[in-house]
Amino acid sequence: MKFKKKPFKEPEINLASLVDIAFLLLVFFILTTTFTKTSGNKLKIPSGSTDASKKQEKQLTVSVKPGEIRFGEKSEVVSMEVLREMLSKENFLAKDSSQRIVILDAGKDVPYEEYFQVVMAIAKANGVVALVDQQEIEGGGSSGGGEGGGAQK
Amino acid sequence: MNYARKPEPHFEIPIVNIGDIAFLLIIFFILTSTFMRESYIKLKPPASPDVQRVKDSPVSVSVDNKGQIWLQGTECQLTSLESGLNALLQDKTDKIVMLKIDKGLVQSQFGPVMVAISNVGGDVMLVGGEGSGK
Repeated sequence: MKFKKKPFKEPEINLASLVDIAFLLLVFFILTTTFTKTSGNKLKIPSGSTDASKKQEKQLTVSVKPGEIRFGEKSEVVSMEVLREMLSKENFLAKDSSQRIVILDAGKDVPYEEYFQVVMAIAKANGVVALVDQQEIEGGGSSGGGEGGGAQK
Repeated sequence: MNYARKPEPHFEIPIVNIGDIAFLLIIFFILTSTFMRESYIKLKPPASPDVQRVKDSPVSVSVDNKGQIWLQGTECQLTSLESGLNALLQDKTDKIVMLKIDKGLVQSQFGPVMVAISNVGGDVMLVGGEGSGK
């Protein structure tokens, strides 16, 4: 008897559904992934109050009030751009660590955004931020109160 | 006449390679994805053109738009912040605390948080975005 020979069929695994799942996962990851990059700067804020006798002869001070930044010997009102320029002219990198200190005196009602921008500007100019603790001053504490600080790269 | 019938041509698109590429991409996304921690804390970070890229720190303190303090994503009071930070930082050599503060808060709200971090000997890493800020 002559049997009809079945054509040889190569066995295969159906990968179509697997690819569907893979692409679903891919779409999920593409849509949910946010490549976050953390930006900011580090500040060293050692604890302890400042000794008034240790005051520097020429201490740079940035006074921040809402919408007003004062800087320099005459405590002039400056814009953020001018502050950046003035800080870069100080050339902190050429100075020793004690001369890099910039006192940041921020009023109680200063918004964080303004405060942050000033801190970042000082840090970028390689200055060392010294924070003035308003509560300590109000409480009749040491003059200048505050916490020594340092911005580092 | 009995003609031999030609077998029908079998068309198929080879999708095995597409699957390979898809899985490679999935592996890439799985490895690079960092699902945002603390996304439930409502705060808008400030922006400055002077920010630099910094490495994430494992210890984080956030102060949301209502002035609520969050330590490691958990609500916390100012009074218990120092003890909480002490417990987290005691065995760390690099005592860096990532501090995220809402840009609308004022110094009287975020100042005490900075003082609390300084009291436990931590270094503050202020976090913000890039941009002019205004």
